[in-house]
Amino acid sequence: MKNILTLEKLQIGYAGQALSSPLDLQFKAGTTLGIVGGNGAGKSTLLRTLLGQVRPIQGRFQWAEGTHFGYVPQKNEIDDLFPFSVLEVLQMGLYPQVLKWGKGTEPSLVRAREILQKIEMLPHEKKLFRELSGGQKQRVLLGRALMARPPVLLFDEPFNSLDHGFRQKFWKLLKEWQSEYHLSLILIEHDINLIINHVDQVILLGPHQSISGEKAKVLQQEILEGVLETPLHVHHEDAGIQIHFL
Amino acid sequence: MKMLAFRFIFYSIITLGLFLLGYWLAPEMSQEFLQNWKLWQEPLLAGMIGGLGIALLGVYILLNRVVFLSLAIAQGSGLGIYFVFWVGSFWAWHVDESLWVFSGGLFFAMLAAALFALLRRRESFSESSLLGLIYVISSGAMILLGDRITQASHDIEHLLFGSVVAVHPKDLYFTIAITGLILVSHIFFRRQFLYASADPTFLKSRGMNTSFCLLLLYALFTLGITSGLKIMGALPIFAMIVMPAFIAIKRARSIQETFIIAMWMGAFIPVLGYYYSYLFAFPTGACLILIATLFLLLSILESEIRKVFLKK
Repeated sequence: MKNILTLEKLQIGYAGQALSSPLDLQFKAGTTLGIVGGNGAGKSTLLRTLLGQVRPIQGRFQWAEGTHFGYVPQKNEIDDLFPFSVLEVLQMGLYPQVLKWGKGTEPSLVRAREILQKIEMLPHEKKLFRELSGGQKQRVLLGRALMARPPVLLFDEPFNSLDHGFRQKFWKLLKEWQSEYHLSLILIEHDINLIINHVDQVILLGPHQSISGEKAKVLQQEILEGVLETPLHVHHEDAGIQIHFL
Repeated sequence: MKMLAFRFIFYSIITLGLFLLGYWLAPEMSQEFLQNWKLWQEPLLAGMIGGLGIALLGVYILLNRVVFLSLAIAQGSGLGIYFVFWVGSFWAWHVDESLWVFSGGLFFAMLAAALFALLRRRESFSESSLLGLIYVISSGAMILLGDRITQASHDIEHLLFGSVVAVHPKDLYFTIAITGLILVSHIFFRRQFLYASADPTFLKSRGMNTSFCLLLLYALFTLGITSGLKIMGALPIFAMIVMPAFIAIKRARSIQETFIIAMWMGAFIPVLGYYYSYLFAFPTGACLILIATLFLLLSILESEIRKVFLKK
């Protein structure tokens, strides 16, 4: 399996101040990476660094050639002043192809409807985006990220506005798409338990140190306690791993 | 489409209604105005075409929530004009009405807009305080320079606050060229402008240079506002930016509809303002704002009438 992202002693931060210790990782295509940490640990900075919007303090990262992204933000950034329809928001995800195709043309409409069907939003295609509920908006933003069929999907705390019922469907959908399109998934989450049973590799950002690697290597009680600086217990249950903070 | 047609007819009826109201209130002056329309042809066309372009930009300005940027741009432009006059007085040049004056105004206004575009996303600046800083520094500098060039103050005032009556053919051609540029940019780059305004973080992840797109959009704001200052003046320009776009966005069901309705109002509000100013001998700029306010008040009826008609 080829690497889609390589981190070499990557240290992230702002204005010369490091937020993590050096990170090394070889993220394989078609797998799932979880980035976990508390508030202010640098999760969003790491994401913005990987998107090329913030320079690393030191070290380097390398995406496989030709990689492009689908990004699902933590919260909707589209102001309610914009009278965009659901279809128009989805077609944003086709940038830059949409400039060539035009938003009313068949390839973009067919793809948008196919995705709306999957995210159970087809009956709402002509509605205004601003008139949807928070959870429905989040689904549309997920759909938008998938429009260009990117090899990598990045999620910034995707569960914030999703109800419990759709969370299960969300994972099912992601796993289906992952095998269908050989997608690589990167999920940022502050609650480790929400993603731990769905990821293959983990980057754990603690207050003073960080660790990255295969899930089995990182999810050991001493390592977790050392990085997160809090007493905890790792439970192995039938449904998977659960971490109880003491 | 049904919605756009309804809104278009609704605002056309208001436009026609206001014309007829003027005629009913002052029939003799209205006839005089219509008989001599060739005399007002240039200012009317300049107001109509310039208003259309300004209202289109107004939609982008409101969607970006940077309404007060237009004031900062106008103030920046004013500083540029004062600066050129000050330099002119220093070297004993006669600079009024020259291309130097417009270029000076445009350069300083661009500087203000570029400063705002580059710094607005920085966490250490709030947008409103940044606009406040640009406004207050430009105003202070204008007063200082104005203190040194008192003999040209009438020329500067004319350039800054405009006079719809005194529009020369060259001003009309210039307005046509600037509005043409705004329209062409909108036709070719509207998607980039809208996307970069709506969700820059996502579009950056898709490889768009959102900062460049927004810088280009702000350059258009600057060009539109600076050229509009001369034909309408600062306050009417501000009204034309805010009011048509506000009415158009408020009940819009699509982005295309928003632009079409705003441009329609942008084209006809200056014409009606000019007409009422002639009928009752009021200042033109103030009349233009009054007409825009009437449109705003009548737009309250829109949703009620829509419910009745679209149900049928």
